[in-house]
Amino acid sequence: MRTFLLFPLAFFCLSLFTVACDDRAKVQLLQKETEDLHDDAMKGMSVINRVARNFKKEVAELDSIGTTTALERKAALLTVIEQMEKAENDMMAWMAEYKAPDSLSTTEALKYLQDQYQKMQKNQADIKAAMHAAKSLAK
Amino acid sequence: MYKQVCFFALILLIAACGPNVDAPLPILGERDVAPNGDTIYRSIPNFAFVDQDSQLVNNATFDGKIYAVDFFFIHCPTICPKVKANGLRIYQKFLNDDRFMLLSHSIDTKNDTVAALKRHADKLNIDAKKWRFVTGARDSIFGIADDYFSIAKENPDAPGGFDHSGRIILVDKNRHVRAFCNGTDAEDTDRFIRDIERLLKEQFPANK
Repeated sequence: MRTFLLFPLAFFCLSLFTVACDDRAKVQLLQKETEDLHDDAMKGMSVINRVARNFKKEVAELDSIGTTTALERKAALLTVIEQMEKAENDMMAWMAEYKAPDSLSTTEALKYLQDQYQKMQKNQADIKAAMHAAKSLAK
Repeated sequence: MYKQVCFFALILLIAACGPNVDAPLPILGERDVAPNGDTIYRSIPNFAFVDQDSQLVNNATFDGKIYAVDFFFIHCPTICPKVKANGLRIYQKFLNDDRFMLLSHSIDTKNDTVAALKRHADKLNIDAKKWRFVTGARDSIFGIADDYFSIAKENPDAPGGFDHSGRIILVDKNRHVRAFCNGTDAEDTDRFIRDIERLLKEQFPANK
């Protein structure tokens, strides 16, 4: 009778253990995916800053020209500079806020990482859009 | 006897073909030729930043010294902790050697304030005279990163820029880049430590 009860109990414990391990593995995978996405997005940071610096130099030169064409170009450049700086600032803000979810429960960690992943996805898209906009203005 | 001679000759040949640890490190980066025929190497331009103790850090800070440079963020979740760990190994190795310093630039100029850099350095238990953590205008930091990395690049066609590489760069007394390593890689950092020793030997022949 005792052996008869032990088997379902062992099975139940094993199932619980498997589910817990599965969830922990999901958290680890999502954490890696989020951080990989961040590393990938970071590759564009020095490029957008370099382009923004060059655009700022050009803006300073355009100031002294003052023609309508020059003013239109200046306005377009300033818009893209702002777009690039926003993408850069958002990345810095993400990094300052992001924490590896070591102290959270599995459910909380998954929720937190899903949110962080989405934020990083948006940031990466913003960086790419800024680079694309800059390309269209490059001489 | 003949076999022994051949074996000895083979050993000599292998030793001759291997890296010469006493040879000077190369000067990295593109170079020009002056009208008088001298080679002009690219050097690190002037800079001025503020460190964790609100002290000015500029080229003069490193006069007569060699130094290792990196770019980091205090709140970097992936690469920086590994680079920091290897940076600490370099720091410990040369802690008592006044001829060598470390210079870390924060890329996150908005969040990594002087106070934040101070907390960061204190947490690492760093001697501020040895390892300067600096901040400054964002464009100046990115600009100097471009200067360091455009010299220290493996592919001459690749653009400069820190690109989140975790790279640590070695600069000599003449502001020339002499070596670099992947600061996330412990073995490459070991090789870099040997490069620092080689450069010290080359640039301070009379000392130690």
